[in-house]
Amino acid sequence: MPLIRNGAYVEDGWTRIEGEAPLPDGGDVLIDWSRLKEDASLRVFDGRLGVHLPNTVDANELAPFVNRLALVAFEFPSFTDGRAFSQARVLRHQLGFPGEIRATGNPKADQGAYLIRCGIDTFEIRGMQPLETWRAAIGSVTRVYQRTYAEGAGTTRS
Amino acid sequence: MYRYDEFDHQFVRERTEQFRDQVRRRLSGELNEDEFRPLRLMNGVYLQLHAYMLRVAIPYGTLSSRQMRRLADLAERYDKGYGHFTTRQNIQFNWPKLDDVPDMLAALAEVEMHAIQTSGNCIRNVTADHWAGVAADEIEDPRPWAELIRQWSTLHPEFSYLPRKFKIAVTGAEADRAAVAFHDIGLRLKRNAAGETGFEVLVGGGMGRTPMLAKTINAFVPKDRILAYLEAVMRVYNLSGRRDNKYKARIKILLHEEGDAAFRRRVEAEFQRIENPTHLVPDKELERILAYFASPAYEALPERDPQLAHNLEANAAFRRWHEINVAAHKQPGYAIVNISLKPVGGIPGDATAAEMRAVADLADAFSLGEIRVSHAQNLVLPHVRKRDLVALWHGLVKAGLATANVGLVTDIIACPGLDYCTLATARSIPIAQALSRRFAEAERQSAIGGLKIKISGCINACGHHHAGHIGILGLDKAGKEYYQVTLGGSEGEHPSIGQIIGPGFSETEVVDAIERIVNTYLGLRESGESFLEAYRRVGAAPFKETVYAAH
Repeated sequence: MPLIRNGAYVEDGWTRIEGEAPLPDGGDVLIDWSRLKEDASLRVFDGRLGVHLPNTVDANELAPFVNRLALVAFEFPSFTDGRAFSQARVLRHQLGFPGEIRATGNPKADQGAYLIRCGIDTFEIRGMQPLETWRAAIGSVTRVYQRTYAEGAGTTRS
Repeated sequence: MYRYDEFDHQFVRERTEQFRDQVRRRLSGELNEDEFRPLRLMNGVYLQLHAYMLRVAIPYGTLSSRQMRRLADLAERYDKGYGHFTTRQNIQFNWPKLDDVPDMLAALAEVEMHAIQTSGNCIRNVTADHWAGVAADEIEDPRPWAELIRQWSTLHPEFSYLPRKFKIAVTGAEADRAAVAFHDIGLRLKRNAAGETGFEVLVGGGMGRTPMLAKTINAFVPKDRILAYLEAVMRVYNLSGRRDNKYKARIKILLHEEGDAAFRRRVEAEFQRIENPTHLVPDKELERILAYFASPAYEALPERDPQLAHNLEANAAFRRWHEINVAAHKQPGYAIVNISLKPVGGIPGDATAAEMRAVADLADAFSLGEIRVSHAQNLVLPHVRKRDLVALWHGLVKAGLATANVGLVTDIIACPGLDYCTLATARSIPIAQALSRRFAEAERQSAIGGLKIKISGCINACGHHHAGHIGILGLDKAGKEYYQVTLGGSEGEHPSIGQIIGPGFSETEVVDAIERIVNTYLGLRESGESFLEAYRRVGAAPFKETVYAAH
């Protein structure tokens, strides 16, 4: 599916492995949350690991895996389901996760600026969309009241 | 009053242009209605029965005369010459066209106003005691904190796609005029044993189909941590509030299902995880905001004004208005003046453009240019010299705004109901009008004393019927409107939810039923006992008896 980062389409180098399907020998693989918790063979896996976290799971449960993961994908199943905003926020700022955080499902351009400030890097969208819409939506309000929110700290402008 | 600086100005301008572009994309089909809906709602635009409706925020109910004149302009240009003040310190325009809305927002932005988050599943306009900063019984002015919360919650990156709408009210007084117990979060400024002020945090109140009173989850949060504490509550709610059923999605249901203690533990744990909770409000920023709410330069005046005493003696109509609509001010020689938007037979909360301009002029002449909007759908002039009261009253009489009924039986709260609202199941306005005509006689109103009637046109309870001493809920039964009556609801320091007294009434029956209830009260009250006090003493039985005996 098309992937947007910094207002441009980028290559998605990650392979999604659903359920218990066998892992490749290496490379970048994105697995389910249940597998990350339970599959011992992951300890010796040679490539980079990413996980897809359902939006019903407390992001704090990722704490033991923060150093092992290079990608965490959150779900935005509908325009109005905002749980993953908080999950991303917790992962990025409370757990200090430095890797890629991805919005999946069908994130919308009009949410882009909010998502970025919660720590999201990449947007996996359904079908190609005009990048101009994304750039315009993300840049349309340059002033924010929670000025340092994206850095994790303060809330009001100063 | 808070004033926008270049930052705020640029913010609302950009937000307006952003919405202009979203409207363009909707009209071109680039956005479908499902995608556009949450965007327009977060900009205050509803689709009602007959037209779009724009709901404009009046944060914590504070308005300047200049802003009031702009609202009058909008009412004339884009509505049918009037606006409707709501139960949440907003004003609604009922007849704009969608493509006019960006221009309306631009006109509002020029006078430091907006419609941001007056709707949608986000943190709504923050409300406060309409006498904030001037009330004689106040511990501290809540408005700087309400402004801070307004800024913090505006386009919040994390909390703009919540399970459901979220309402915050703040009060700083002993008496609760902000109905904090009926809000998702109610904040009450308190002083602790050490003499410091902080907030009692109440969570989980609300009206709607499952009315609940908020519970205190923290008795004292120091002021400099309040935003961090709010962030903790919001995060728990955003992650765990129900999203499977919109009628169970408010935070009150989460609190109810998890239990107060468990919910509180989760909030406290989340709060502990927030790094540097006091850093959320930089001192410099707080000082900047506080400075805007410093008391105006009042004149040193004697508490008693001899001329006023004389005028009260000489003019019975003025005396009556003074007794009912004027309240004690913290500053000697000053008074708080309540302007009723409930004339006999009128539409509660409606004001014409001419009335808005008259109030703006009177505010300039007698109230340092400041106006307040109350959740009871009335207006307030907060800084009136006692010696000016009679001149102000003459001005109000001339404008048709001197109705002396604030807090009385005809000061009825009513939602727009089925005359406007797409959610409504029955009309509210005609019931309010009929009741106010029935009880119009001044002597009778005074004899009845303080009595709050609140009318909602559907179970969503925008007319706050659950908190009415007498509540009326309009429903639909097989295509016919009928009205359920509740008794004993109250906001304030000892809040309660009204209880249904029995089968509902038709439109023609309900006014008689209310009159019988009021007469029953008059018959059984003890000396000095208000309706609510009498009801709490005797319960519903005597009222049921008289109301249903006649059937």
